[in-house]
Amino acid sequence: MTPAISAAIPGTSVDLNAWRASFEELQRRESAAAPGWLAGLRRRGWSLFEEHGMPRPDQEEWRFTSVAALARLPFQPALEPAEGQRPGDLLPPQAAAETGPRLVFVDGFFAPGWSRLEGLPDGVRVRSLAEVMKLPEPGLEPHLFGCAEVVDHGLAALNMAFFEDGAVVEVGAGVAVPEPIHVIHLASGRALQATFHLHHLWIAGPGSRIKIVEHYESAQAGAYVTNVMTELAAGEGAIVEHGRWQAEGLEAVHVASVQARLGPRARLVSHSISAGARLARHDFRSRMEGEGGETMFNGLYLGMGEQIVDHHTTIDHGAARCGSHQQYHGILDGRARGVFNGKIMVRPGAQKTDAKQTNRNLLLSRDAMVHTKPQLEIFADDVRCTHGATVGQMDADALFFLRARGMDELGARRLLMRAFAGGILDRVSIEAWRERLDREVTAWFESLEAPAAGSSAAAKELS
Amino acid sequence: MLEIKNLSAAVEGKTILQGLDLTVRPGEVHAIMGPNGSGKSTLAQVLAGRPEYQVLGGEVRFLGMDLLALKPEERARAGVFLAFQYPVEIPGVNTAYFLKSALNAIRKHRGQEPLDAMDFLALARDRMKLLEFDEKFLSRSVNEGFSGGEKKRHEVFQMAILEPALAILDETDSGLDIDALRIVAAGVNRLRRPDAAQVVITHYQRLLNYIVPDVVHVLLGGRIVKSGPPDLALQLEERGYDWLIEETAAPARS
Repeated sequence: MTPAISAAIPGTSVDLNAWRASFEELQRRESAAAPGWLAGLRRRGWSLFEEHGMPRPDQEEWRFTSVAALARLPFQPALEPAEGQRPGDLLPPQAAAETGPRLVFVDGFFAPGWSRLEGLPDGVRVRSLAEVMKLPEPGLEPHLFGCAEVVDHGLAALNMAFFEDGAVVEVGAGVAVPEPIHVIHLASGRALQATFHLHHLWIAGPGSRIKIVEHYESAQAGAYVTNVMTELAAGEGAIVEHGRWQAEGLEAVHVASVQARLGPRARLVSHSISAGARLARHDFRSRMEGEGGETMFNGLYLGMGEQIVDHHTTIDHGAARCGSHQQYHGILDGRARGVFNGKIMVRPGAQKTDAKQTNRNLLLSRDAMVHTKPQLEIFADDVRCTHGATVGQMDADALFFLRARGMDELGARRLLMRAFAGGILDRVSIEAWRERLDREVTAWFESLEAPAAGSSAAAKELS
Repeated sequence: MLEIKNLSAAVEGKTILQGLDLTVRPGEVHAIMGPNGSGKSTLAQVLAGRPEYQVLGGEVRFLGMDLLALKPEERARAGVFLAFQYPVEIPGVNTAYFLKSALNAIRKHRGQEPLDAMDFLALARDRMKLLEFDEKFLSRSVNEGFSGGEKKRHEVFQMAILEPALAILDETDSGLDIDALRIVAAGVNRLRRPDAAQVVITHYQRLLNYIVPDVVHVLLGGRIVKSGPPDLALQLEERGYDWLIEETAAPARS
């Protein structure tokens, strides 16, 4: 089945041999100590990578998000923690300030010294994936790379072949975790031209409640790739709130895949706030496998300069009476480009599906651009599916109104942007995190270049 | 206080105001009437500084300043207030937050200390009574979900908070039923001050039963063609504008 592979990665000019050498090195290193299940997963991952190759612009799912630049660079996997890590001095003050339990990863590996796990209730088990990977029987079989669909492109396959560490969180049946758990990944700036293959796995038992927030930040500027997959399994009636704050440095590439499976009456609320990286690609999938499940995907993406920020979502209604609600807002300036592709799949028998999808975009410059596309595949007849997308400029009437009441133009523009962002941020129930996001987003607004004088008039003429 | 000389202005390439003159003194209330398309709203927008309107000629002095050289926010801080004909809804912008920010921007310009949340609320409650404006609106987004009448009342409420030297009310009566009209007009009347002026733009004489102007002006073809005592509004109500169109056109023909 696997097509013959030439020395180049399909669709790119990259020499596959470098990647193959890394993979062989990893296998050699692990051969003695690693349990069989791990080697099996890796081999499957590698063969899937050979099959998919690097994502190419001629693939529909990657049309607007070219990773060609990424493929040309020697982003070798980080196979072990960098030498001489002294994490304490790198942790950005904002990340350090997150109160409550936190797991910190630096350059792809767990940093126990900065992590803080006390105060978690009984029934919650938190481990690093590296620790789990040593076990002959990790007991995670149905969940780790739990379904074939999670590997739907070459970068996901690379994650499967090279994953080294991540957060494994298991919450027992009926356990409510009061405080959010923060999972913080930090690029130190010392491991340049590296790819960090992180893999998180969170299992929320039946009737449990948990909130987890992922953070991705850079301590220093530099080029690297974060290639992370998060698998999340919510048992019957579990309630999960999940957040992502993506603030990688502007030379970094961030590729993320969030793969959720929901049991009957389970509820997932997930917020993706993305402001960093020169290229950020997010694939979010929720598979609702039991009746009465509910998925809310919220997203706020901010782009300036030459940034590309892409959200591909898939809501898979696999059972009756499930609800899904997606709301994504984008603010793009400069020559930034946004992509939103929202797929809603309603499987046969998934009657009484209620699915809603909204994507709104605010373009602050003439050169900013967004590609937005709904994708509905409906195989049941008693369903309600709605979708809508808007692309617009700053509301000239609102801007003038605020100025005519005495607010200066810059302040008025920021207030309107904040209001637009608030449509997403206000949905976050984790108060301390929402307040931090508010500050981060406000700082982002303040970092925008002031528009040229008379630009609102020019915008009006254009419209 | 306000002196407009030979003002011409265009929007979207179309010239609307064509040599308009108007003088307003402190304490006065002026009504501007005229048929659709005569330039009433254009005058209001130009005075407030809407960027889409281009001033082609003439000058406007306000309290000794060259008004046309100021940005909209500078005009607001200097004391110009426009009550909008079509108040805009701004989802996500809290009314109390917006109004406190606006007031404090103006207070800063006046060299006054900013009001804190408590003082602002006390002021807001006091001014709400003027307009029978419900406190619940303060915690909502600006104009979002407000009825037409509530939006107009909200405009006058903002005027009551900001206490402008010159208030321009652009068809504040349109879309109001008689009870709402009475409340709004009573509010405007109570905001009259010897050192402040009001310019009331209206299509109908009805409003002027409640807000009694010192002078009525008729705007036609982008110019004020006739000014007179309040009775003039009644004449217009009876006779329409056609007689004035003929009267003003006549000298040109001869």
